[in-house]
Amino acid sequence: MKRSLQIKAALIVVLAIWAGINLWPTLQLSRMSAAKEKALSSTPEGLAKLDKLHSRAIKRGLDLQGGMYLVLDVDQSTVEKGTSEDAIKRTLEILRNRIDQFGVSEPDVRREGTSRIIVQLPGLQDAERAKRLIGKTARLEFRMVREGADVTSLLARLDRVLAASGSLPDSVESALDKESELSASDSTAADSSSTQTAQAAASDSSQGDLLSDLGGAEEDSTTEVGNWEKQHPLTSLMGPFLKNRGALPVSEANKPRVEALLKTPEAQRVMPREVEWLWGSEQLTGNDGRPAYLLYLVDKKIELTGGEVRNAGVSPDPDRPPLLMVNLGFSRRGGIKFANVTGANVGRKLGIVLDDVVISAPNIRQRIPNGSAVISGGFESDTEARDLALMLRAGALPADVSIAEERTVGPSLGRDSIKQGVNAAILGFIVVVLFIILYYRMAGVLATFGLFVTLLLLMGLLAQLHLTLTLPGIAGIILTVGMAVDANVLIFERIREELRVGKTVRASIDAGYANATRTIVDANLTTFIAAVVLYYFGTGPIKGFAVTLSIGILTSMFSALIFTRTVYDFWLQGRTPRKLSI
Amino acid sequence: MQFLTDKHIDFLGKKKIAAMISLALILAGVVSLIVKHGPLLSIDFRGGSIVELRISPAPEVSQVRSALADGGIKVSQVTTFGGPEEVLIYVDKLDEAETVTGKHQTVQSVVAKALPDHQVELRREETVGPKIGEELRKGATNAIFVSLVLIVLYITFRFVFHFGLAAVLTLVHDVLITLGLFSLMNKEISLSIVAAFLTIIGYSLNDTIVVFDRIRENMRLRRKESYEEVVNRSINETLSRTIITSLTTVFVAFILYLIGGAVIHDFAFALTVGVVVGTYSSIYVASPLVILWYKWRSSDRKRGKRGALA
Repeated sequence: MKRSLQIKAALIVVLAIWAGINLWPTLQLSRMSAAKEKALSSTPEGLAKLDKLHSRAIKRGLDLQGGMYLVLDVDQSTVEKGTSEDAIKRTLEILRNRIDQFGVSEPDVRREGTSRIIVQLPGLQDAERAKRLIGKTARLEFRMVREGADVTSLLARLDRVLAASGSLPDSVESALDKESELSASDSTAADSSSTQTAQAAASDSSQGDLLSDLGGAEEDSTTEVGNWEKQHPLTSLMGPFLKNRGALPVSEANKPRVEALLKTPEAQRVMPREVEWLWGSEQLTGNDGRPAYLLYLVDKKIELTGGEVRNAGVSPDPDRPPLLMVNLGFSRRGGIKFANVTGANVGRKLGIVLDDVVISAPNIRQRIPNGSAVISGGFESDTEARDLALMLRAGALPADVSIAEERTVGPSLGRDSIKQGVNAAILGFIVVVLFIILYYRMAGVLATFGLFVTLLLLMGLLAQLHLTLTLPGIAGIILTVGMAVDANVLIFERIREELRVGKTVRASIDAGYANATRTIVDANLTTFIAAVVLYYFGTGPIKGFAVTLSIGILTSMFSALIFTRTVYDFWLQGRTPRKLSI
Repeated sequence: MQFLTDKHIDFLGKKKIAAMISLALILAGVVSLIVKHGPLLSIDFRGGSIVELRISPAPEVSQVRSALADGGIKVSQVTTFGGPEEVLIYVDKLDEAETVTGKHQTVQSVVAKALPDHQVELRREETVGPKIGEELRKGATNAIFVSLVLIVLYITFRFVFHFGLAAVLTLVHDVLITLGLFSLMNKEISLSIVAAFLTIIGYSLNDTIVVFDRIRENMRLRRKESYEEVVNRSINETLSRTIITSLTTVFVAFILYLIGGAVIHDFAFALTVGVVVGTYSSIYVASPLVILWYKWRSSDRKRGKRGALA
């Protein structure tokens, strides 16, 4: 036996064994029933064994096992200059913290580029909840709420300047223009007159809303509605101050107008520097059943932040069964601050502000010395209360994040994709194998073994390199099956040509491989170039396709040029066949 | 078993017919692309949201549409996807309902509430922000452009420049026809379709190079034949390989199209079309282009100069 042949044979055997060892955990896992997996995970040793198997097996992508893929943009404008690097690191840490508490197996949170974070949560059930938990900044602040004369005098001043300036804000006007176009079909009139109609229409409708929703304030002035409206452009959109809530009610229909009015430069100018308007999270129901919201006047000064919260949990709310409330425990320093704040402000309302929304504004009845507080009300569900507690434990994000990309796959779609992908692969394999055996007979059988070797090495490499198999990845494997045959076809056609010229079997095989090798390398390398480019420019699932396609090209070249050649060389040892089944 | 043992088909004699077929296909696609203002881009590239629900028993699409309208969710399109129970919803702005104080209504919960006697299950949800869409668009264009440049470089290095040029023109031909067909059939171009295009590029090139490789070889061996004869002979000699490989690849691509599932349906469709077009073009487009270039460069077709080109 020639030495080079021995080396080649040894190489093939070693590679096959190596691929088999690499694939063993994947095989074991795929054959393990769900019941067995559960039984194993109940004991610590079993769990360790299972973890080991999982870490060595080929990972299934989120599109195959179901789950959520999120790309988060960290808003650099919400970070202090020069601290963005630190802010992103802390954001990562806090997100990991939150997700750990949320309870997902094998979450993956990592940074991409300068200001992006990729979160992958496999096998996730409640996508909406996860998004809320991840995307919320959860900046908790305790700030004093202003009431009484502070609010009424400010409102009066706002009404005065807004009435004096005489103009509604642009955004409001354009919104009203649209309304007037709807009511008055003949809207080609001159600009000034159409604006007037618009204002009149707006006054009517807003007055109507006010009366029906909130009981109305000045019902006696119906005769001079227009005039009263003009003098009170802001308060006419609101209900009277609710003493027990410490806020002003605004109907849903009026909310955008109030927001726009408060943003006008005239309004901004008279706003005292130390306070601001914030909306409450609670949704009230107006008299007509339509929703209304609360508007609070809140100090800008922050008495205490969520940073001082040492622990947070939930317990039943005694005032509102069966709802939950969130219990906070402050750090020592926080507890002292809290005691001071409550002590100094008995009788006032303490605004609990989360991400610039007032979630609760309880009355301070007495000084609270024990360093604990509760947040009650404002929660639509128990989950919301639990999630708030969770986020307060994990901490606030140092910067705002927004979801730039999301891909969620439900578990049933993942299962279907695997089933369909595997079926397509098996059927494709069978068709291709039948075809080449029919066409090339014994040589076709050899090529079939070559195909097995190609797939074995491909899967072995996937496991070795800890790559993730995705649905496009399966498509890449299927395509490899189709294209892997190509190298064999090139060789076999060459051998046939040589045989036709009248060469001996041995000479034909030699010449066939020699001539085809150059073609195979040239042809495959160009496809390989395309696959590698795809890998570099692609994202997520596309990368999976590029990976299997490029590895498939390499392993199919190995199988055609080395594996089948070695088998022929063995067959030709000490034998001079007259005919070749090809 | 063997097909095509007697291989003396005059492929190049039919190059005018082939040119007309190619031009007609490209023209139809290009007209469609112009009329529809470019290719129909999926949310991967233009940004937006889709939600796929499985609703059993199968609902009327109009039921789902009115349920969403009543729930205050603005949608641009509701279609079935793969089967009557699978409903694909294009949501204008998924997070619009999620104001600070407003209640966030999910598409799934709205539909489930409106169709109480149906089971509603979330199959898939994808949201791509406008910024990411823009980046993906750039990435995809770059990927195609970079791979074409690298391929010209590789072929120039291994063969000669005008082979590389002919190969790339052939690839442009293949992708244009497939792109045009997608536009004619109102199919969306998504990230995975771009992946299919790149695979087509790789595959078609594979085919073209096998023919070029044979031309290169025959140039050396058959110095007495004319350039055209050599090219035609090379096509014929590689024909059975071209057909066998195309068949196996089309088989698997078509199987993927038939049973691979709705998610990769369009991807497999692009591959199937691309492989057929790629096979056709490596015979009828790439080789005539090589000859065209050759004739253009040397009005006298004497043998002496030919050696330099091959």
